[in-house]
Amino acid sequence: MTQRLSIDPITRLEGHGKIEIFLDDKGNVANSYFQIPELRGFERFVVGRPIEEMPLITNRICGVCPEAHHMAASKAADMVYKVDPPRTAKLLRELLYMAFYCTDHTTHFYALGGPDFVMGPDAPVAERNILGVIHKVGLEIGGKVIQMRKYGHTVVEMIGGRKVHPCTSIPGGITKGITEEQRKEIEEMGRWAIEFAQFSLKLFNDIVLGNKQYVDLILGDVYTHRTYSMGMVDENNKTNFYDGKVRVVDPNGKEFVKYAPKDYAEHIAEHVEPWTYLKFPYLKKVGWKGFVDGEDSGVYMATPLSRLNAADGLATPLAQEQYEKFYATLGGKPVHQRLATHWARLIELLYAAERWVELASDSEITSPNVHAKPTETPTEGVGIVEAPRGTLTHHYWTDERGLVTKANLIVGTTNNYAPIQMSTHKAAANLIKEGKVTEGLLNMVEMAFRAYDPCFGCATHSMPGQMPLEITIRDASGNPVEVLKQFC
Amino acid sequence: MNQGKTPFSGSTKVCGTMKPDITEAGAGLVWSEDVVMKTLLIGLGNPILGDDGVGWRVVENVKRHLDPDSQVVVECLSLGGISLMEHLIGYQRAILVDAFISEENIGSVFVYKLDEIPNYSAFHVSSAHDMTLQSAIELGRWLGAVLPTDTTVVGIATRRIIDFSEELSAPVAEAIPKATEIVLGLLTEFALK
Repeated sequence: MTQRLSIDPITRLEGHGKIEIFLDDKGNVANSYFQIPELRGFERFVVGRPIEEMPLITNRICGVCPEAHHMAASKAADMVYKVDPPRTAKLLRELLYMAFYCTDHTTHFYALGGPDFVMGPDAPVAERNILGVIHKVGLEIGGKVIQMRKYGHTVVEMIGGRKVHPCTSIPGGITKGITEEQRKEIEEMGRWAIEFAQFSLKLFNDIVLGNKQYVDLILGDVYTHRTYSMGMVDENNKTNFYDGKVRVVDPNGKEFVKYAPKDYAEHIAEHVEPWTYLKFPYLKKVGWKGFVDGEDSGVYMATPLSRLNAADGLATPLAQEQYEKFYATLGGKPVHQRLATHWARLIELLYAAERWVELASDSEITSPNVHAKPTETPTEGVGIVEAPRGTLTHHYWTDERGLVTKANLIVGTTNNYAPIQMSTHKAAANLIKEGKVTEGLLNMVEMAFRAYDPCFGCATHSMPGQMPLEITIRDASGNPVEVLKQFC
Repeated sequence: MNQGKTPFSGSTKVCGTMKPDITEAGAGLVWSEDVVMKTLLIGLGNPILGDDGVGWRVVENVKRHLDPDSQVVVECLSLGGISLMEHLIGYQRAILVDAFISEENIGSVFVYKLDEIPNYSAFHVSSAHDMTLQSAIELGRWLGAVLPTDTTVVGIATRRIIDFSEELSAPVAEAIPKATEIVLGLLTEFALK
């Protein structure tokens, strides 16, 4: 009997996604398609606008990580004008970015990814959420999550001018510096963030690593793919979210390439499938071989896990300790088990918090020298940052007046489209046997893509935002024989 | 700054009571002192995504009609869920103006109490990144935050929200005066309470 399963995670927050699963005659998974209708026309929308508008306008592509778009567009605009911002401007941009990272990674762990582990993947959906986490771990932690977010928003506002959608980065630097009083406050909040990150790692250690069932789930084959790993590194090959070169290691952990942002197009190409609007980036020099693992496949991941794999370590001491523990626990580098991404995200949280304090303690951070006036004729520029959910590339071409003539953006999640497709397929294939849909399929498939923290859309948030995740099982005639919904 | 009790010390607490002790939670939070007696008016949406920007346009129009000494705080936001809830903290009443995906005629204006809108996903995440506003508000209350007891949603029906544009469709643009009038009426009602 031929069956068709449809998992349809529609959301107004992030565009629309849908998973179609086709079963073979024996009722096992033959094919699956994770379809994403891309929001239309952004790269056309920006044509004709001044390049200096890009840091403001692109941060409205996505309500989840506007700070990442603000930074990538600002760096691209620097290059368009061939201007190198003063050191203090770079420090301030990175400081804002670290505060954003702490906010974003905290939200993901406690509200989105964490409930699968803290409550358990089989827990009823009504409990597998942040309220369940608070109930289980203690009410105090909920307050600390909100506190962490508040501190992050406060720093973003101090440096970026607004709590969300920052507006102060411009070609050549930043429009305003910070006072010594602000610096002290930022540093104090950063020290709190370090404690919070350590607490979060302890929580992960106690609840997840202390539970053999969870460790087995993480290390199991269902969520494992041996692909290339991508991440930005500094001159010492240590992870850096704001600046550096993009390094890619092969499935064995060996450096495959390290390239400057301006050279991205030499290394990344995009594969097109007829069943989805979104393209699949891959490593050009390896080639597209389909949705398959291995050294011969150009598929790569760009996530917290891949960033750890692609680096030789982390540049802050506490995070480095955790980095070493991570690989010692999981059997060495690189780690390919996708659920380990949740742990990697918390290690990055600690790194971001430590870096936050480092930057706030820099003797030049309060310097008024925060902008270098652009004097060159604008042409073309590429800006890359590590967004929480993957390497983010902005590329603009302008005319001599600085008006955009062409734009190309590869957003964080897009890098992971192929591995997400592979992970959801593998999860479905393992959970659907001989036509029997395993209980918990919805969440187990969701877990496959939730590890990537995917984001498919824009900053549109019209009410009443919802994500009706459904599995529809269809018979040979296409008639639905069973519909499963996550609502309760 | 955090006024909580002994942060980050001791072992992880597992399996608390089902009913949280709000007093305990509130003690660890920072926002109770931020309570103001104002009404918050929020335009929601993305101003570069066609009709999704109508919420901003309505509240900007309302602002032009407000007395300079008005106790109404007006904001334009592209947020949802937890982030939106955080903006509501400290206010007694809130009005949210936003585009609605609806099968009704484009440009129709609806008024709902937030409680009347189905909370489709209960407390599960409503997307890969967030939860519904209703769930986020309940979360905030669990944690001791002061949140509006009266939240009204003014929606403008549309179906055109995935094309990047700064322009509203004609029927949605034509709905702005009516939506403005409704919001001003709600603000007058609030002021009389």
